[in-house]
Amino acid sequence: MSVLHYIQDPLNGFTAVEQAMLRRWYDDFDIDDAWRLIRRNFDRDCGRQDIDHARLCAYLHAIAQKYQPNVGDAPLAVMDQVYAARKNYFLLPGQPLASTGGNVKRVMRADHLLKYQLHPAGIAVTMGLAALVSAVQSGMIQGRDLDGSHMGRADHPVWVCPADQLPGNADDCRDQLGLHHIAHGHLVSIEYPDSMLAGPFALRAPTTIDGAAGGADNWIFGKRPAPGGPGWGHAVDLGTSGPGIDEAVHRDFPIDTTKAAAMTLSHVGQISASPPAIDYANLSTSI
Amino acid sequence: MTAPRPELGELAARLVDLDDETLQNIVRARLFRESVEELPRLGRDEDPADILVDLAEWLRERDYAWPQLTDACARLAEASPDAYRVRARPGPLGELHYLCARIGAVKARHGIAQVIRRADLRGILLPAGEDLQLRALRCLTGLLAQVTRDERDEFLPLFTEALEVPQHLPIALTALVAFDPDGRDGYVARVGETWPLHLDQVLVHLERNVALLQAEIGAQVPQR
Repeated sequence: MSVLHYIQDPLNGFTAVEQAMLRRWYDDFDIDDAWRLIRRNFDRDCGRQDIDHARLCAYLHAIAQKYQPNVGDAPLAVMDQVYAARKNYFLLPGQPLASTGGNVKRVMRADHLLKYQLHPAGIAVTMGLAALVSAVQSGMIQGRDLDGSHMGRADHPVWVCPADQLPGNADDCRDQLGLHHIAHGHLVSIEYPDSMLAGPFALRAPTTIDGAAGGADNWIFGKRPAPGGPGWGHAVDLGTSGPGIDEAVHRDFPIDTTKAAAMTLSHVGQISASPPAIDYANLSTSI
Repeated sequence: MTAPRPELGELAARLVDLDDETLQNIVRARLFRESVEELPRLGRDEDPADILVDLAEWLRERDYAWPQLTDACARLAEASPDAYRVRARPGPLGELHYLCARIGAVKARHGIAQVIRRADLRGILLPAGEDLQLRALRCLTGLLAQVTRDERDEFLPLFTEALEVPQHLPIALTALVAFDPDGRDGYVARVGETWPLHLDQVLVHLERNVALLQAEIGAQVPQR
């Protein structure tokens, strides 16, 4: 189902004026393959059961009200504007997912581990990456040292993948998670049981709105085809321009002593090559 | 239109010969997450300083120090921040300090120290929950590992004062013991008197933290 059919459904309550403006927004994505991918992601969210459709409708209503064609990167700018205006409401609109009974992993730059997760631990920000990696590998710095830090940033989804799917080297990890902005340094992972994520912190199906949370076009996101859901999404594999590792999202949370004790730090590896160029045209046919 | 992301070599060619004022403006805009023509847009979970940290490291691996960046960042850090603006949006200042620390901008140490000393900047939280002054302490600690002992000693009173704030205890005590090992017993005793319930927790990792910091001191050529 495309957005255009979705907004015509009387149950979704879009007026003729709103429908006209949303059609214009939809058509204005027809600039390049990257933008068409974002548009297709919305189509798939309309057709799947991953998202809370009340919030998707509210999002689209807001788009219709705020859209200003012919102004800069208008279709993307309005997405950022709508999200920023009601972050609390549009944060993590995906439906909760059942626990897998296994673990998830969150991947990050090694220096981000130092910056965000080790501030209660009394460790200087200047620690060299080689020394940090060595400390993680030897267990000198481990999960318990995350006690008192925060998993993720407020008002941003935390992206995780099933622990057993993460490749064993940094370049493959980077590519299969679609982390096209990472060209240097080391990657680490934080592993924790998904049973830790319950209630408001439950794992959720990733949606186009999540994919745009940090900026509408700063991320490569590919929705699974409709129908289906709620279910895990997948990243975009930069190397194959096909589906990457499964991924889901959850809310940020404070890490207390109990949670920290259940977390495992690992060094994924050192980035050795630049990310592959993104083939959006191929991506559109293979995802 | 979506442009391909430039490689680090291409970015380096664009930036390394820029003058100080232009570079300061670029860094300032980036820290505030404004669009900068010379730099690619931020990726998912990418922080404003990341590309500059990576560039500096990439150049260092090729034996190029990029002094213009360290100087630009140090000058930005010297500016006395407006407390109201920082309270409204502390992220950019915390990110500036982080950038200074990761690229070894030792000239920024006095500017960072000023932020730590200011009572009107107390209790301000960065987006991920760390307080601004703790971030500054962690950055200053590492930068001081890169200067001479005499230059470090000037800041010992600052770290001693930081022992008064429980959230700052781990890094403050680590810095004091690493920079002034002879004073260890005195500093630990002071924590025991001021924050007795925190002492055991802080002591658990003190030796490890001091060892890690002393390794940074040992690895540096003093005063770049």
